[in-house]
Amino acid sequence: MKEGAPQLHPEAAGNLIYDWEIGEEAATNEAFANAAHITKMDIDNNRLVPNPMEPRAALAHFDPSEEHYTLYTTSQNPHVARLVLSAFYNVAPENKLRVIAPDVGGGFGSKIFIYPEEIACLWATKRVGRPVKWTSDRTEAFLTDAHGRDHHTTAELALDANNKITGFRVKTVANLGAYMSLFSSSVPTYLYATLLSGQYNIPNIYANVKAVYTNTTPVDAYRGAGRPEATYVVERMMETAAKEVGMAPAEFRRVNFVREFPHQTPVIMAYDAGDYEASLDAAMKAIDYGGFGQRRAQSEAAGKLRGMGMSCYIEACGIAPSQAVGSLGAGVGLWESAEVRVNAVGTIEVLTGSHSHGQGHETTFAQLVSDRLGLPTESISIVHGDTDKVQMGMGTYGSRSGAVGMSAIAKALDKVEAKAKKIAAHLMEASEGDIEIEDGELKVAGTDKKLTFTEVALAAYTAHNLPEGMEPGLKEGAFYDPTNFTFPAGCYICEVEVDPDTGVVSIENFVAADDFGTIINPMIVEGQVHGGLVQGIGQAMLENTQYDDHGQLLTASYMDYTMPRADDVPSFKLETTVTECPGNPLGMKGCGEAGAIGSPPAVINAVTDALGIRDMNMPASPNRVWQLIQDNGMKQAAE
Amino acid sequence: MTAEGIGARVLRKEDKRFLTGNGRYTDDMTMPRMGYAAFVRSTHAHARITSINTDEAMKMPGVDAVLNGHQLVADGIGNIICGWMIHSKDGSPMNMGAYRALESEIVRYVGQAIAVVVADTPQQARDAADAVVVEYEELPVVVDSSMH
Amino acid sequence: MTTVSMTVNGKQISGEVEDRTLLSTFLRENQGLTGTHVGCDTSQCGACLVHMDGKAVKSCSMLAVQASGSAVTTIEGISQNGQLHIMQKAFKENHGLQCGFCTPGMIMSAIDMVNRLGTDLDEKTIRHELEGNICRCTGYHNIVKAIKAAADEMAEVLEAAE
Repeated sequence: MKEGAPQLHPEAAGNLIYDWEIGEEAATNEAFANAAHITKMDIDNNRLVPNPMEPRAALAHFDPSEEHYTLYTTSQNPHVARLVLSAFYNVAPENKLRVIAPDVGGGFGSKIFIYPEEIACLWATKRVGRPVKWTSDRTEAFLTDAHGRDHHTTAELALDANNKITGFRVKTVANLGAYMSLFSSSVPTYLYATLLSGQYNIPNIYANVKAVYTNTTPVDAYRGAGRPEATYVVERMMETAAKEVGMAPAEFRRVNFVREFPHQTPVIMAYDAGDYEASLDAAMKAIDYGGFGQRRAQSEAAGKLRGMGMSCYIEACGIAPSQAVGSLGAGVGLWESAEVRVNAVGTIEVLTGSHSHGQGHETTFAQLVSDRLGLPTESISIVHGDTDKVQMGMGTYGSRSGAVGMSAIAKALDKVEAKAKKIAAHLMEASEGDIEIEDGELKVAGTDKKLTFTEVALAAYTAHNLPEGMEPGLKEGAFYDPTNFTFPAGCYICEVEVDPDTGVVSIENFVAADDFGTIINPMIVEGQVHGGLVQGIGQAMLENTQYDDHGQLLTASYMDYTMPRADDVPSFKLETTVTECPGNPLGMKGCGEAGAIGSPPAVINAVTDALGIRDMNMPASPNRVWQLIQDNGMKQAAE
Repeated sequence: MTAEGIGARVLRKEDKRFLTGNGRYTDDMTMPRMGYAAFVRSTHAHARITSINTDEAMKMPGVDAVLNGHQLVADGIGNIICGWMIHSKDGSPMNMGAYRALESEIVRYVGQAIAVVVADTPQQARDAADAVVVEYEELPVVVDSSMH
Repeated sequence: MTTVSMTVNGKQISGEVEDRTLLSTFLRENQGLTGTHVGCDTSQCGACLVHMDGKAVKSCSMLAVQASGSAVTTIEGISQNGQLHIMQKAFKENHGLQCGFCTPGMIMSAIDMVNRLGTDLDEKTIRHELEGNICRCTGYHNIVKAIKAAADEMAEVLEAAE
């Protein structure tokens, strides 16, 4: 922040929220002192507005006879909302406050937080003695939904004579807006700087992050939250460093890939599994990397500029275990809960602490149960989003619902299966160890004796003939706390064509090769990737949050803030490679944020490649690109 | 493993309600005697509030109440918190500024909530919120966080 | 207050509204047809798109009184006898929706696209024609696929009928 800037809060001198560091500064400095080559860049990450299509809303009701509140709200995590509303905002004790997040029209992080409007509606409903509803209009959403990103960074990469990275030094200023939103502090620190090792073996890393207040809308987690910012810094640096030392960007990355697992980085993370070369190879093959020269020549013949850029991202999802995040400052645990409730007729309800707002949990979670018990998904219902129905849970963000939420369901299913097998063994006078569950039946291995799952469920509830001492019923719950983060990774390659007369950039080819570990439903995973890619491409090419010097938001409607539309983006080519995550029972890593994390540097690397320049800011709007072409032409003419 | 198990491209169970207009989002919910809220928001990025005049708004049709931050604080509603503690490299805890759901002293961004109106219809609530007169003493503004 | 009368999804209805009431508000609040969504205030996002006398209109940017006397079709009115419209079915089969909020407007827009341009639609045309509808979840990839698939199926239906 510039000297003498206006002061926002008496609690924060110089508007400084914190001045935080990670890694070994002295050792990193030494790596730079001995470097054969140093690449240095100033890199900005533009401020974004999340823009789920459903604006936030709240409907609060107070029942004076029971002193009880009900809140319908657009939340990704209704239990966390209830906890915070109760424990910190003193609205009501938890048992007197029911929070329901019904169908929610997208979140992308912005619906994690508890905002002034929900608090005000709950407070007002008691004061006025009637239910109170508030629905945001779009301009209110632009002004008050927590924004994302907004980093200024200076980064330096040190290489030895063999082009191996020996050190990485990063200084970042994160603009958190006028107030600290619920998880804002974690985004530019533990969700950002811990990913600065990328997919690479970097022995020394040091990062310093200063978070500051400004007279702008609060900034918090937005799809990717810290990891897109880290990936953008790392992958812009990798592409630039490769070019500076005269290596092909892919080869420079290969030289520096982490190849042995587990791999401890200098910035907390211990990567558990991955094969970065596999996704790089898959992406290069899919985009016909070798044919690029020919395509570039064709573009040039037509008066166009063509460029290609890649990005090898890694992210950390399923933030955990709770003990570890607690030691890093988190005020909550990051486990997940599930209850599997088998009905007397053998249909099933799964109560999950995760919340679906577009992710398709009602399908994928049912697929897991179907897989385990051999029942059709039709007979399995997923219940979520209501604190009166579902046990305490932590909600959906950070690509955690598969790796953490489904693991909790898997653990509850273990218990259901164990009890069902005991009952079946008792009824069929067999040994429990011989019971197998297959196609909705419990069979005695090696015989033709079997019972349907429905018969066993009914026996559990009639309780006429259960093993000695067994409780009736068939309903089990589990809380699952992972042993580590998960580490989805992949390689994205973008190929653009630029019209030098207009500065318009068009994406001609885009390939995404991802390793998400085990995939439950490829159709849904592909949809998550598509959506993430377009949010990332939106950041790289279209979206920018603009304030004037008086702090008025100039981009406060869809007339002014450029949302990606169908004709701004291409169709995508997706590839999958798989290394299973060893940290959870299903081998899942998470897929919700990858597209938004990996794509911005791929786009900007492609645009700078096309223009033959090193530095540029996002978004690559026609105006900015045209100006860069003019500036570059002037520079070349002068030389 | 079943045809609908792990790895299968199962079509989504939730789609039918969304395809037919039967999704139930928060704004689709209604309750008997429901009132509608509209917020009075700061038009300045940094300013001291010198007065909030609700007289006209209170007289408007359908208006039940116009509530502000003084009442909110008096009712014991707590400040908005950040739930992840970060310590600076010198060991000091992060500097968290007080954040109220309705601000009545100093506003720090355009759009910050100052008061809330409850009325019989959304349009009446909006009209009344627009009729609340907030007077400000402007303070200098900082928008850009860059050091250079 | 003004009385407006119109046919909505084949049913004759009327209601008392303030003159300034938007068609989207009338459908959602007076008629309880909450399938029509409001995602912006500037007629950009298309979540509120309905058909009026067979043409696509953004119901958030016209008054209910302007629609008086006309025939309006909303997302609730396009399935018949419990059977999904070909366009609805194609969105499901191609995973053309995630959170579902933009979906009603997308489907009404897509049906209008086929009505206006016929069933021979290529990707470029579909993408261009969708400029009035914003989706934040799907990245449009599967929406484009769904509309193409539906248009192809509609062509087959038309051919079979001939």
